[in-house]
Amino acid sequence: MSGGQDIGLRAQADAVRAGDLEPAALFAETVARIAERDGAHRAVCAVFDGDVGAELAAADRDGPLFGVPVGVKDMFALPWRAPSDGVDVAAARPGRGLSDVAARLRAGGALGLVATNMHQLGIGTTGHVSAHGATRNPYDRERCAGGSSGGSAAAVALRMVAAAVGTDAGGSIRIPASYCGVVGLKPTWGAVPVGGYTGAYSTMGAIGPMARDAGDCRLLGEVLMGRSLAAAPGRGERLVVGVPAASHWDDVHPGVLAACRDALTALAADGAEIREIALPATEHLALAAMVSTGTERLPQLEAEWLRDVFPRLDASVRGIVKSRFALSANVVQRVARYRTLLRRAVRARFAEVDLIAMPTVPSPPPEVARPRAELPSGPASADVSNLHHAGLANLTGIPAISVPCGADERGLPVGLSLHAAWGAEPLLLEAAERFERATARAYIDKGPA
Amino acid sequence: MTSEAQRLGLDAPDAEEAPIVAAAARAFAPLIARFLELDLSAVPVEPGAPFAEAPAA
Repeated sequence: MSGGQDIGLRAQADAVRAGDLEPAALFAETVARIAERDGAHRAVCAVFDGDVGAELAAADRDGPLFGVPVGVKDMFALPWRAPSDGVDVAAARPGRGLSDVAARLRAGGALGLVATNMHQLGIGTTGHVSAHGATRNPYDRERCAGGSSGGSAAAVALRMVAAAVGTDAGGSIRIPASYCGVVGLKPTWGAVPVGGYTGAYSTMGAIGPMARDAGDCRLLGEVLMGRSLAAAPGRGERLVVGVPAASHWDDVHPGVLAACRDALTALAADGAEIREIALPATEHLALAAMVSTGTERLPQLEAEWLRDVFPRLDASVRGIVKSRFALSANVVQRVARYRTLLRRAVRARFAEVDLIAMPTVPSPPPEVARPRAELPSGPASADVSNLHHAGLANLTGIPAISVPCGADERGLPVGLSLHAAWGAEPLLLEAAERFERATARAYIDKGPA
Repeated sequence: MTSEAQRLGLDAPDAEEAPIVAAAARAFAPLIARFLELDLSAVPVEPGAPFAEAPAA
């Protein structure tokens, strides 16, 4: 059987299990597809070129993903590669090794043999800053793929891998998923172990799956999380979806807004109840997310790293790191209290609704040359406006999923984000699958031209 | 730069970094000013906060 690159993750795993697809041949197809398609997209920063047979021997033959290649964001120690963090592999910390994610992939039978590009140090939601080159959008090369897991999203969208591992400390799974038209799940904080992960220090970050559809996200998510994500039996059919209209649906690009409103209509037609809700003090989400992610990194800046790695960073990243030293202890401590305020409010909302829905990002993918958001209120920082939407899940630790729900007037993908209570990933995946069925997978199977 | 940053060996922003640092300061200033007006005095400390609900990996 050939054409393994054009089928999804479940189909690849099923074909390998049935003996219709040879793992080594599938990996050879993967390598060929990357050589054919990656080019200027810069989604992939390294591909394993060693003994695939040895990697297969190390993978669990009984795992659900046996013999299937997946992308891994370049923040994890792999047996064949030290993570670069978007900098320079020669200076990376930690070195090669079996990170917890690499171990879970092996236990699931998967081959983590494709390292995907990322926004340098994860400090950016656009993905256009990396030592490996700007990751460009599969739908328009002049536009950003998003960040910081832009390489994982673009590699899935371009059918170079069927699924990839991403990380999300400030929307870094969901934002590129939205920009590239794929599904991205940010699990509950702490759901995936962090050994050998360069962002292991973060109370904001989570490790999660990115794939073509929610079913494939569930499959990779189960491998990463080490538990079933199947929908709870006996769950009622009627989902209640909370919509924070005043804070997250007000200043949104018209093309994004129209697609997301249509998505709510589709959910309602499928039986969901749509209910307007309010969240407190949302005007501080972006600031709080930037302060948390920025200051949690500061203890990581030990002398050797500063000497060897810091000078290699892009000037924009160096400047952002230095600017975080200027934040006062008062602001940092107030952010900690603000996170508690948000967490209590979210807990109260989830007593009333099953899900909270909002556009994943308020604006379509920005241009690489000028990465600014286009909002009704005017041009804005892409990072600030994106974090206004994405920050809620990171600051509170709740899970969230971005599902493709349409396109803007230029054909650029739009994503809808659904949030659920802590540990409710099965509900998110169930809701995403219901949306995919209700819209006849119109936004899932199309892919870039 | 702050004394902590200097102790770590970070120099004052160079010519490339300075515009980034200045832009960040400009962007943060109004956000921080509004944030400082938010009354957080009644927000309690929760045991295990902020992630008491998080499952063990």
